[in-house]
Amino acid sequence: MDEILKVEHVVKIYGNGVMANKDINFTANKGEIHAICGENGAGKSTLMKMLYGIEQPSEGSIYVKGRKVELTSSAKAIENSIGMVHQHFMLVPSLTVAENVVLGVEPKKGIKFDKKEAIRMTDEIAEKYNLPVPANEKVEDISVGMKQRVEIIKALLKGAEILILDEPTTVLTPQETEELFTELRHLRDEGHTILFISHKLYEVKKLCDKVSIMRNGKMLVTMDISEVSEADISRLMVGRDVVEEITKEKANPKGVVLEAKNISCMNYLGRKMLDQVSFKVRSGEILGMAGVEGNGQHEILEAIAGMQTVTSGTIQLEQKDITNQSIKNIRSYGVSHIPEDRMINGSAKNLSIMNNLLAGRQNSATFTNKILLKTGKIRETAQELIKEYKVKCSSENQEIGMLSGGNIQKVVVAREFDANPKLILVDQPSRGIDIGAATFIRERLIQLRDEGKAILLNSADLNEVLELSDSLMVFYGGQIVAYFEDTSVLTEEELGLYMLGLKKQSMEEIEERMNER
Amino acid sequence: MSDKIKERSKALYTQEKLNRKFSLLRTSLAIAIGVLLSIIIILVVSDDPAASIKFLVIGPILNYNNFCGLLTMWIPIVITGLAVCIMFSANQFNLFGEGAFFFGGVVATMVALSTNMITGIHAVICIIAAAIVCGLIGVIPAVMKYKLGASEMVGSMLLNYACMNLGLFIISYFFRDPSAGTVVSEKIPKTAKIPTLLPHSDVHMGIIVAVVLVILAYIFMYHTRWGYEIRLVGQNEKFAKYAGVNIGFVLIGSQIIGGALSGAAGAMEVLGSYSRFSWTTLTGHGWDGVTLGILANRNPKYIPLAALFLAYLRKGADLMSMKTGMQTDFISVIQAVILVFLLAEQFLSKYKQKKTDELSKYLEIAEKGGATIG
Ligand SMILES: Nc1ncnc2c1ncn2[C@@H]1O[C@H](COP(=O)(O)OP(=O)(O)O)[C@@H](O)[C@H]1O
Repeated sequence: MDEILKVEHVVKIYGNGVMANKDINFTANKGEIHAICGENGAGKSTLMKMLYGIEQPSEGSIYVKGRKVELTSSAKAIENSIGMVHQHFMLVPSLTVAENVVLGVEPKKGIKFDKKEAIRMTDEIAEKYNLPVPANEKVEDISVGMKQRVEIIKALLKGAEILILDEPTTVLTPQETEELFTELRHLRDEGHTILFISHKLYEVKKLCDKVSIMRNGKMLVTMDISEVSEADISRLMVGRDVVEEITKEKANPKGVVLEAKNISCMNYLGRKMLDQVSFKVRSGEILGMAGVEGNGQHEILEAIAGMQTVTSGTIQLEQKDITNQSIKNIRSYGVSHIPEDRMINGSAKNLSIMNNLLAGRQNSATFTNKILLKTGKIRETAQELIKEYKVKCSSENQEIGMLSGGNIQKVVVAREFDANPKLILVDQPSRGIDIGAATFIRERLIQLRDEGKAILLNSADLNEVLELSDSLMVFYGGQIVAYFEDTSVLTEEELGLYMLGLKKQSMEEIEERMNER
Repeated sequence: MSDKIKERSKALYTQEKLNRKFSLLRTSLAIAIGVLLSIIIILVVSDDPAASIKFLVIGPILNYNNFCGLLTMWIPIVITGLAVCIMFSANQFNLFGEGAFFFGGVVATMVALSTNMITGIHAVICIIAAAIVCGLIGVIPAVMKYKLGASEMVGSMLLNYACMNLGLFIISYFFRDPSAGTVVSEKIPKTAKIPTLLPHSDVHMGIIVAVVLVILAYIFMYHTRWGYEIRLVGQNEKFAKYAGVNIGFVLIGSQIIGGALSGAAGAMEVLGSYSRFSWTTLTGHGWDGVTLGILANRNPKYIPLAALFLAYLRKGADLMSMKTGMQTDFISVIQAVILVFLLAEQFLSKYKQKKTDELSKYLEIAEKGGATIG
């Protein structure tokens, strides 16, 4: 087979001193689906960003079709037939699919944008590669799976022969994933090369022809997929045998801690994000939420935490009405919140670990006198938490931005768990962190449940929700469309049908099941 | 043996230390470039370069009088510098310091001329009045930013000119001394003057206030929850909101403090160093505050040193101009050059990345070495 891409002795050192890629050597051939596997933080994205021209290597060279290339910008990457589909789509929601596809290479009629031609171009690619899309619809109205397809078409239109997909399946339901795989196989048969980044090993095993494994910034091996088992890959990724199973006793729920009644709210565009949502969370249970992103799971957490205005309905914490109260008050009543994005809402990257651990508790009598902060106590607590949560750092004074994702998440979690909450809102607890940190956090959640906390969990990782939750709600279109009091009998496939809105329990049925307990 | 110790100490050399060392290097280099540039200008332009350079470099400490002049210049800019530290820490690029300084002087003059009180109390009341008025005016750009999203930078700049003109109007219509040839206020009563501290000089008690304010500002920013909240908002507003901080309170509060401090500085300047209000235009003390805030990297702790540097440069230039007739305008050019180098992110960034790369590789190898031994 023809070698299309070659990476030689590539080193990448970021401005903060992190050596994210250490002497990487790697080749990919024409017409193959090539998986890049590695734990979070292994350096996969860094390597891909260099291939797509977003970052530049500190050392080493990259060859495309045997020619040495300098990928100093993504325009250069596209010139060299490298395209990328990002985890977070780079589409303009208010434009149509066709307009998005031709963005940057707009067809012109005179000086005017040629809409017809744009649609024709889109349809042509769509047909050629068997990727049907509704060219005339606005991007904001199409599904996540469809958006991803639009991204792929966009790259193909610009002549991409090497297509990088960064964890493409995390946002998809099992059914959409299946579809994506069919499309990708088709592209491969047409002679395209696909670099598939994922840490879902069964997907890798099912879809890919080759697999390259990264660990700790190094490229370990490249192998034919037929030579290895899932267990082999995971052992190579982590560097030891992985025992992922976490043990959990049956829940022993007590009184109701949180009761949400008929909650509705809108986003800043005035679109309804939650529609008459009602449920209860009891002490000593983990209530999970599943759903495709953007269907209300995240919004309900924000509404309870006070970060999102509720337009109707009531939220009660131990019978006290907390609807639309200030975040400060809600926190002081005993609500902790692990936010979806630790870098945006969960931390300030230029402040020290100690200062990050104080956030949200700066008014508590434990940490402040009338006027002065109790600096000694704050430092002591920080040191204790760092030890207890095994945060890898040089000291409590280190800027949090210098830590790895898993360690930053541990700091966030430590702060929220340590506040002695009654209710813990958990949004994507292990997104983008290494297996060790993820397992640690999951075990902690179960421990807290057993101590009698009420936990409301949202995660896009279906494995995780199924594993952690005692009961589960499925969200679709801002509503609860299914409720399961026991998650142990549920399969991912069945869940997928509810998440896509293909299956639905009736309102009465849901209510009855919820009250039955 | 000694090699081993060397190895160890190098391994303890972390990225944080590199960052700290680097920012020190950057600041010193920016200042050095500024100073070097001024010496070059003098060499080219001056008739008597040796004398000029002498006065610029050691003039301020040549004798008691000069040194007192230096201290007098130091007092007001320390306070405007603190004001900027607090506002910039909240990520609010409010430039109202300039207008507040001017208007603080006006308010102090108004109160001094229209009330009768005993010495001591009189001055204190004047200063407090100036602080309150300027703090309240400082709310305007803050609220416009918070409620309407209007840039506080533009708002505060415009406000500066509004305050200047309003101040000039007040002085010339209500407090003007008709017997004086120019627009100046009546003489400020003795009771309202700030007593001098050092004999035979203009150094007034305000210097003690300035020192106390530095200590208070530092404690406020780094050892109280309010200062913590200000820094939290400045570093990441979304995170601050999530942590239960009342954003509006912090944004508006920090700018009230900023306005009040600058206003108080203006009042103290008028009551301490002038016999009457005689400014006809903005004085530049507010801009100096911005320079200092940046030089000190928003930390009140470093303001006295930064202010000393700036006052020294000014005083030196003044002396030079007095003794050798060399123009002092170029000092503002130097100030601008220093700021540009401090603010330009690319300045030395290549060099820093090179050092970072070296350190990173070294640590990598050290780790490997350690791993094989252990
Ligand atoms: N822009 C950046 N600046 C500094 N460090 C970074 C940056 N991006 C990633 N890193 C660090 O580089 C390492 C590798 O990250 P990444 O390439 O994202 O890994 P992966 O994609 O395998 O999860 C991590 O330790 C991460 O913290």
